[in-house]
Amino acid sequence: MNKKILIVDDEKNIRMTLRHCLKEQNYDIDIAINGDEALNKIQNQKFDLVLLDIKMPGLTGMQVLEKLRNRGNDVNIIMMTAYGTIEKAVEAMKLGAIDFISKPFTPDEIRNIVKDVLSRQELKEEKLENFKDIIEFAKKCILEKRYDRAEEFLKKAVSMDVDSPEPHNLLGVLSEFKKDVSNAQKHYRAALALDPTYEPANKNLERTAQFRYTQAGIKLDVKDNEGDEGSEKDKSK
Amino acid sequence: MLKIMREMKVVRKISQNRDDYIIIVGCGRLGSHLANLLSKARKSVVVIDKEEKAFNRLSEEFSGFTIEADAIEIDTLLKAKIDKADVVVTTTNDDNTNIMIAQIAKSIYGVPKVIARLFEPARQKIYEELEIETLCPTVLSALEFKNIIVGKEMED
Amino acid sequence: MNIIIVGGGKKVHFLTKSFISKGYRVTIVNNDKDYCKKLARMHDANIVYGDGTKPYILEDAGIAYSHMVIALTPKDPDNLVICQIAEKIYKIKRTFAVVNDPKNIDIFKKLGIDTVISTSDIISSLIEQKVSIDDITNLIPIEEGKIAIMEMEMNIDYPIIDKKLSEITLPKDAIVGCIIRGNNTVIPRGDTIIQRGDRLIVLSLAAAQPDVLKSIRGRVD
Repeated sequence: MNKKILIVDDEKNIRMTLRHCLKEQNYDIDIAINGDEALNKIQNQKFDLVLLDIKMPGLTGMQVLEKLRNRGNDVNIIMMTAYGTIEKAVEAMKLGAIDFISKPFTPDEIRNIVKDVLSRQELKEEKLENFKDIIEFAKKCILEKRYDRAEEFLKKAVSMDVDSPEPHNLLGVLSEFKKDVSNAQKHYRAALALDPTYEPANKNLERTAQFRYTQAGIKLDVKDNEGDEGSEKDKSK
Repeated sequence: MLKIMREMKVVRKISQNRDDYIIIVGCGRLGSHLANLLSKARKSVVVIDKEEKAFNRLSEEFSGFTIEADAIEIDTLLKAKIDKADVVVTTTNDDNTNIMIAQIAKSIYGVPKVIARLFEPARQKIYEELEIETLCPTVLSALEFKNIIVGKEMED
Repeated sequence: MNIIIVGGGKKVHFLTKSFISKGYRVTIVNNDKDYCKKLARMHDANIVYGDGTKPYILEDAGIAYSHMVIALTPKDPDNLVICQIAEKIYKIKRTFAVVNDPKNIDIFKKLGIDTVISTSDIISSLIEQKVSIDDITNLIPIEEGKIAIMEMEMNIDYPIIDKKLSEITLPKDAIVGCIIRGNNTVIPRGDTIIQRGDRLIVLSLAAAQPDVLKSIRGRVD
């Protein structure tokens, strides 16, 4: 049976690009041009995966994500971020979305991430064959809110591939869940020490640096930070 | 280990001879026209231009990405994921900007196919020295005119 | 020595003066007709009006028998192209490119330009030095800051005063190149005694600078 994918993006060219890239893979593709339409469609049909743009007029991607999870809908979601934005990685992860892809993306990138997310469902603990499987399984645990298990598998991943920044980055995120920001930063720095160009860790480190700044009680006028998602996050706290 | 993986990636790209992910620098008349054509041909296209309004030149059916930024800055090229590009075409109004970005694409990021637009034929030599493929509209147009006027039999 | 400078503005003006006073022959290439006329009036140099990124303009400027090309335009890509034309087509061995965006230093080097100077980096590092340390002047940043040359005036409270050079422990990556004493220049040897008021010219690797300062002054800052 073909997997059903919903593309949610207000920009027509993005929707078209995604359709193109995913065409040959035997997916059933549907589209929504904004958050409201997306929520409606997801309410009425079962999708295997949603590609969700973060920056949209009206309901933002994060708001759609939140509403879905509040309704008890645990459909797989890949968040699409525009270049130049600081991902709300931790917030999204708490809401149950762990996969991000930044625009622009190559056809390969989108095909691979879609494949990985869809096949993650099938992963079984006894049958984890390689580093990648372990990482994916750890992600699955995070989505299921089994954070201690996730941590276990991430540590295993570290020992399996000492050069990969990815498990360190995810361990950082888990530390943030536990409100241990300084440990989180250590993990992000470890990731960057292994690969200074690893964007997710870079962004997370940047973001936590901001977070601490506001935590110290220094007032950041929200109006000063147009589009600055760090301070918006502070508002929601 | 990471370094070896990156080198392998470059080798793989060349042998596959792909042209799926194309970055076009400059959305002027040439850049936008090319972007439209490539997008119609189902390629994944990213267009970079300093001015947002340049993207108005893209057609309705354009299905690619646009980035409003200065391509001279390395950050812009990284955001466009130049390291994953199969093709980079530089079509800004400035030959020297085109040469510089073309070199960054080719020598630093190992993009397999790099083509630069050249206005001034006198600069062709330096591009050849740097092994960058060029397209000179001036020369091409002159050739076309010549063919119309005296036909193709005459040697260039 | 024949030098070609491509560009305009104050930098070119002062450089030209300086080179001519040293006896070098300077040719300036500039793309602004009025400015060229002005330069011709001000300097005893050849002035070529044109775009220095076009090979035939450089030929007009006599690149065939030049020893050095300096690219000083406000546009980094132009500076890149000028140096590359000079090196690859005319085989000029000494080319200098100035970059306005410090991020381009690395890029230019990767593209084969040997000497890349970022004026904003130099200025900001000079200012930083000046602000933090008064009686020490960082003279010339060489090799993008890897080697530092400092001129230090010996104050009465410096621990090395009245000691022989051989008795002073300097870090291994540093040497005292020469000592300026009043109107004289002293090339120091092991038995040279450091006197108050001496100005020491110290060369060191930039990384060794704090240790050098500590050895000489007894403190870093």
